[in-house]
Amino acid sequence: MNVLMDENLSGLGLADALNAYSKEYGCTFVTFPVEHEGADDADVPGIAREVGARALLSINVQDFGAKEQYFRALVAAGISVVVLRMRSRNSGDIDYIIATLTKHVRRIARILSSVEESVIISVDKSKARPASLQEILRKRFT
Amino acid sequence: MGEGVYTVPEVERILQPTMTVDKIRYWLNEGLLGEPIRQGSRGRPHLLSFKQLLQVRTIQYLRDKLKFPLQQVRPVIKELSDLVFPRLFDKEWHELRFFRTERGEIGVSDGATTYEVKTGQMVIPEAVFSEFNRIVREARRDWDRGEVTIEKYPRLVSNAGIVAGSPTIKGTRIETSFIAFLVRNLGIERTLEMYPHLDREAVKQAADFEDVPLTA
Repeated sequence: MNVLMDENLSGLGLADALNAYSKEYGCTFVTFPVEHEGADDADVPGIAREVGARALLSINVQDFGAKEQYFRALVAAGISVVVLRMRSRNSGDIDYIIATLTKHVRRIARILSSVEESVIISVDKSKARPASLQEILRKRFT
Repeated sequence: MGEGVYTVPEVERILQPTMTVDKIRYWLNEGLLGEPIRQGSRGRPHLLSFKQLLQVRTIQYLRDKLKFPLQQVRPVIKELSDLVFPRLFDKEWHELRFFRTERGEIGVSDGATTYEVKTGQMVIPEAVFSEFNRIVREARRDWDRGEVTIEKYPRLVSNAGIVAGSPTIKGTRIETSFIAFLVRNLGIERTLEMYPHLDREAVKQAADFEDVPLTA
């Protein structure tokens, strides 16, 4: 099972770091294809399918509310969303991103392989769990 | 999918430096922007559409050009908004043209019909009409391409179809907020190493736009 990393996250060398852990659980993180850089949101589900991904890995640094419809549309198009939540614009660093995702990669793989329908998986320091958009929006992180 | 969605603070950031959250909220309350796509409540921000982002910018521009006292400009802006916006976003675009009527008021023509907006004996300089024409043409152009540029930051853009309109580096899906996060944590050189396809100017603009000092 592949997880497509959105273009934001594809430059961090994160895929190698995550795959060192995730392959054991049948999950491979794939960087956003160079030829699709700058692609429209509407093309993302197709790109995900092209690389055999059933989920998109995204990060939220601020203004989550504004991305609600984007995530909702991905889920409606059959693509799950794994969203790493930053506690605030000023907290965390790259090591935090890598550490948090590697810590929860097993759980993420498990959720993705166990659900039949598309889901949103909210990941933060302490947990990775499927969540509804409303649930995520109720929490204020920004 | 592919339609921009914006919180009020995000609209403020995209339309900096003259826009403020208070202005946008005021115009929302005055009914100049129509209904938000989601009404805000405690912990849940108002969500505005790309169309409303353009409306906010257009009102700001019109307001700037009509240098009337606030009391007098408010009804004029309200009337202009009611007149302009339904036509501005029509599928069939008939360019709106502003002119001075014989009675010295603001005339607006969409080719088929002419309307008059009463300004209450305020004298409007001739130059304002050509500015109005430019403002409306610009709004329509941005509506057609689904994208607004960000003043002072030519390498940044808000494209309604890319990451739901979140400001990005032009030609990519890379959000300014994320680049700023990297610059804050790693500095500009390390950020450029990680994203070698981005150039220094684009990264600097993203950081500056997000108020991250470039010395970071």
